[in-house]
Amino acid sequence: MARALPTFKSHAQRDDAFLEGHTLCPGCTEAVAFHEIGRATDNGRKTLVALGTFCGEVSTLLYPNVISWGRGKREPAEVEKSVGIIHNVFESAPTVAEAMSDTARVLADVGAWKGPQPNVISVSGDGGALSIGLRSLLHSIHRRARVTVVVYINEVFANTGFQYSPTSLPFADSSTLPHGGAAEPIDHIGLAIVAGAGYVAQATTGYAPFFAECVEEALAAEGTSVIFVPAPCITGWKFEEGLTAELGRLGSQTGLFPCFRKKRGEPGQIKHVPEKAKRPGVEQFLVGQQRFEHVVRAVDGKPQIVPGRESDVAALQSYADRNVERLEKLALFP
Amino acid sequence: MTSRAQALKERLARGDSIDLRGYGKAGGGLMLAVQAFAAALAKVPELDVQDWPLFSSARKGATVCAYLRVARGKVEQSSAVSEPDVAVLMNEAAAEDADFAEGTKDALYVVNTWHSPEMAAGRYRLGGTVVTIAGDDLGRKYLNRPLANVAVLAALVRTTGLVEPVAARASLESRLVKRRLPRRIVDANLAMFDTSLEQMRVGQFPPAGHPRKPFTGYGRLPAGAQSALRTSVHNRTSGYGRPGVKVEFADPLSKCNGCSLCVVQCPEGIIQFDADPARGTLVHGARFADFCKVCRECVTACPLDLFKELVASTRPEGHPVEA
Amino acid sequence: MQIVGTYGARYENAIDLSALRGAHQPQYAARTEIAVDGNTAAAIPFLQWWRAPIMAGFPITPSTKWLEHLAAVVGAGKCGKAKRVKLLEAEHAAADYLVGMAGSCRELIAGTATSSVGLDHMTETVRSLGASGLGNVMIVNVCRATANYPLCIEGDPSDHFAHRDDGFIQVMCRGKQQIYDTILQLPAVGMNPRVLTPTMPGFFGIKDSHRSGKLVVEPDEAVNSFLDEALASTEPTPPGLLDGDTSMGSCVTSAYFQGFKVGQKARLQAALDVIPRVAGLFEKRFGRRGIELFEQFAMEDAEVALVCLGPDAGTAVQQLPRMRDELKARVGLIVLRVLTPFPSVALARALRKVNAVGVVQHAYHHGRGHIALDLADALAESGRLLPTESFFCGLGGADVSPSTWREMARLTVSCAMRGKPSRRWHLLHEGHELSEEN
Repeated sequence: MARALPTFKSHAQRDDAFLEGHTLCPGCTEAVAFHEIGRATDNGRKTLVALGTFCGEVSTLLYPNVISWGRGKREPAEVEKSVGIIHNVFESAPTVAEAMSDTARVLADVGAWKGPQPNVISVSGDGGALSIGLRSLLHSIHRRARVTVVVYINEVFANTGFQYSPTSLPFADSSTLPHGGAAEPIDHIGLAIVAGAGYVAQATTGYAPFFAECVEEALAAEGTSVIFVPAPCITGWKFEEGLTAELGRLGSQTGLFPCFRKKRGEPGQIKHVPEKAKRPGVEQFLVGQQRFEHVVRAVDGKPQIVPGRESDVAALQSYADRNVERLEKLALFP
Repeated sequence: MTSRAQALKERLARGDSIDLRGYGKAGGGLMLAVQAFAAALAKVPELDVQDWPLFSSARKGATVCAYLRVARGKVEQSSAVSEPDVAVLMNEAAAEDADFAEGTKDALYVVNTWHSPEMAAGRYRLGGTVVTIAGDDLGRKYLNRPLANVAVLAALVRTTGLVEPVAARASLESRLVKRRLPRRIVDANLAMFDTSLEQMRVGQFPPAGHPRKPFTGYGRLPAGAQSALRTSVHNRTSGYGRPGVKVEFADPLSKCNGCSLCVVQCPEGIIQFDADPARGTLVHGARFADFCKVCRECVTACPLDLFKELVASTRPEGHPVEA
Repeated sequence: MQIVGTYGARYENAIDLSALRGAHQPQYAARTEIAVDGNTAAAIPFLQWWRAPIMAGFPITPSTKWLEHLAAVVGAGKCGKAKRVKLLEAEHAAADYLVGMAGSCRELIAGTATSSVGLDHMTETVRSLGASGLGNVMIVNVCRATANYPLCIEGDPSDHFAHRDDGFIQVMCRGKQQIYDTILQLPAVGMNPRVLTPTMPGFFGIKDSHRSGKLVVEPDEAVNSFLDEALASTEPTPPGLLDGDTSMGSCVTSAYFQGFKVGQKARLQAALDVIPRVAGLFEKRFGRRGIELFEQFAMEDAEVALVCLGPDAGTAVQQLPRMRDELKARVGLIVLRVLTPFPSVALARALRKVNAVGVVQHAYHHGRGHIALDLADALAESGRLLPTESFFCGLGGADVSPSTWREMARLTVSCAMRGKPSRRWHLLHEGHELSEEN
């Protein structure tokens, strides 16, 4: 008796709602994540998507010839395979998605919508969900909107040219904060949990099996699901081609962006973070990204701390270690 | 002074502007080249200069344009550069979907290519002064990557005669420093500039027309830009890839075991496979020619090394730059 | 499944609107006369429409009662499963919510009410809606003085005027009946395939929102069948997100944007055509005048005209005989209703026989006034300029007394005799001139 395929493999064989021909950069994490979401939502339910304003919108919803969404080669015969996608304004995606979800529910309650409740997805960058968009994110969560909110975190306002964002790691160079600053990033996972999300996950596309499971769990959860996707940004972070998935994995292993998932009312799980003794140091993650070149540099293929920057690296290491500890506590939040 | 440089000088003396338009790929250095040229021109006391990029949301790999307008006294004109006097092609991939010579008849063309001026003139149907420089090669030599902007800048400086090479070099240096690049990289760029000044080739050709495409109206646009889906599938994005490389899939022994990692890591979603409900996606290729941006995620992901990055050049391996 | 133009596909059977219609619980079975305030008059249509299953909102003085009334009626179980009230955390969220709802199904009516800084808070979405083609969105603006320094929560139309170019069809209402009737008609205008533009009815905070008066409400069945008849069209309904395979709100480059604005402007102008048709159908059904471009009083023989808007016009209507008698001049009155698109041609025509105009404005303006400029433009377009006095009064809900009206009439009559205005603008209160020499 053949074992069922793992989630990500069975998703890979579904009809994708996200298509080729978009203008995202080569190796963009957002595109990889869009494909997984596009495939996971081929599950017999109508799919509704609300996009904020971010790279993922301007590069996939550009009239007339870069609309890179749609399941199948042409308009499907059944409404369950169809896709309705909208871009409103920067920070509004969670609220727009909530409205789409509520509308479907009200129509179902009176018998006007007979199918299963649609997949309703909101996707924003970290600007549109955690900076200017923090109000809309937290309140949709608080109202238990039945929506899956996906937040791509690339630590910068990328669409406007890679400026500092509240999710930026300390000492990361950006155009509005050269060489970065000491401030630690906002605790997005903590905020989502405390606001009452039904499901919170942080998942990198670099760990495809975990990522796909989180997407599947998010679509099925009660209340609001939030998936934070650490999104290595090849053009903003300036790294070589072919490292997107690897950096995603290193981000988890170092403790900077651990893989995490938690259902409300149940203990959460941290994954793909080795125990402290075996954990790679943060410099493994920082090396090879030009935005950290003033802090860590590659010498003979090995990361070397730039003289005078030892305390910066120590601060980043401390942040990573405390981040894991904090997530261990958050995993136990009721 | 060449006859072309003389002709440009006379244009300025008459009170006309010199318009420049460049085509390239995002990340290919076109902006820096045009900005550095503009900054050098701005230091010439009797000249005024404006430079600007085509404003677009696409970033790495997309086709981009840069514009420059220089005149004696003051540049008043604000409309688009649609009939350039100088047309630049920074990356040949940018010319696949657009005519970089549109609106010209007898202009100064500066092309980053290993081809000779004769080959370039024939290939792109150019009439006027054609300047070619093997900028990708120079970039590989000095910067370890096929980045041709400094070479093209040198060619512009030399063939327009509008600024002294020394002034252009200083302007380039200050631009690079302003971008917070490490000093060794700045120095490498300057060395490349110096060499490039002597490395271009020039040819003269009879005028050839590239008439401007006229505006024929907006048509009836849908309220709220509401649109059907799937329009991107005709948008060939293979031009986004770094020049000179491509990815290929080869599995002559049918080793692919359906692990599906390439399928899920490909940002373009172009891996081709047969679906096996027991094993996974059995891959047999990918739509490289039309959509691959050479991001290498498949190369990194495949545990069996079935994807490889290869040199892709119209120039045969080891062939010298054309005489 | 039906392909609709270049919009994508629509699945005609995906949403069974008859089930939504069937779930509606009528609020009024027959024509009924009640006494309510302006906010309540504006709320009742939302309770009567089967097309409005969700009403979204956030409280702000002086529109709060609109939301409270809906919440009270729905909360008391009077609407069954067919209606919800959605409480958002901010006005911006309310507008975003309307987008998602209206975009999901183009046959539903998605509405909210707000005022002043609340309307300002949602501006980026309001401006987006104005271009979106989502004519099934309605934002009721209970006009209130905008901004702070100092804060004033009483009514003047400065907020309505600040949002002139947001792209909404703006209509001003005065009195409970106009408020109710106008809201009943506006979706028929906004959702018309030639228009596809959201609507923004307005009425003054406090002077209309917080004053009670008689209101004749029509039975739900008639309200809904009127709208169904007004909306009947041979054009296919555009797909919504829920019942379609489609995208909305893409971005464009400068190569295209202008073309979209050409279309948006044409659709807004088409409202000037569609409004009289809808009004005609309304009058036939209910025996009352529908939305007029502007009201006219004593204009048949008028030598001078006062042009105004809002509830204070009522004082002018009442003072007209005294003005005529005391000034020995034939004073007429025009009360503007449709503000955007501005009915320039019709207004110039209505003023073709007068010798001077007095424009009465209640919104702060940097110059002669919003309406003064629109009027001058309309007259210039018609080829006939008129001497015009520009008046400001009633800012921030200040009282506009009968003596102020009579003074404005007197100044306008003088203007006609002199052939030009006495100054660039006046600011009047209790019949006194307050502005400095200008």
